[in-house]
Amino acid sequence: MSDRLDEFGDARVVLITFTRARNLRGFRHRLGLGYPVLTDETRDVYREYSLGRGAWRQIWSLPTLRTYRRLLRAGERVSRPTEDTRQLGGDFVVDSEGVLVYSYRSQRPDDRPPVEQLLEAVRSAR
Amino acid sequence: MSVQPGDRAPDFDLPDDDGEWWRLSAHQGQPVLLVFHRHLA
Repeated sequence: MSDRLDEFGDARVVLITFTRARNLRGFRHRLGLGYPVLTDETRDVYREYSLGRGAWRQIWSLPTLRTYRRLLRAGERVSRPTEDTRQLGGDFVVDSEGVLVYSYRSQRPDDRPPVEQLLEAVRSAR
Repeated sequence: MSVQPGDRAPDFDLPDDDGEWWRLSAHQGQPVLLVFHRHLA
């Protein structure tokens, strides 16, 4: 999605993680990300948006393992997890008046909505 | 009961990777895409 950031126009894109603040320091600059990276260590905001933890079979499913295989083949460095691997994520679009207009709660770690769907949701939120 | 499209988005105030605080309600007037990270090493 980072390589299509321009297409989101004037919309604010924000990444929310549950990484400890001290591990996150300078993360955005190191990766050259053009959007804020926030940390929700207590995962209170994750809970507010009803993002829970998946069952083991959801997390370590065939699609997840395939994703890891693809990352490894592409030469990505895959490190030993230090965080809760069962925490699921999601994508939400909030319109200019603060109303939620789109929600997508992932069922597996590799489960993401298509970028086109997010772009469409952002367009309708203007 | 989970928050759904049509509901007011729950407001929050979280620190960024530089320690600056970022509040959702401070960005009313423009659409916001919130991407909640899922763990993938």
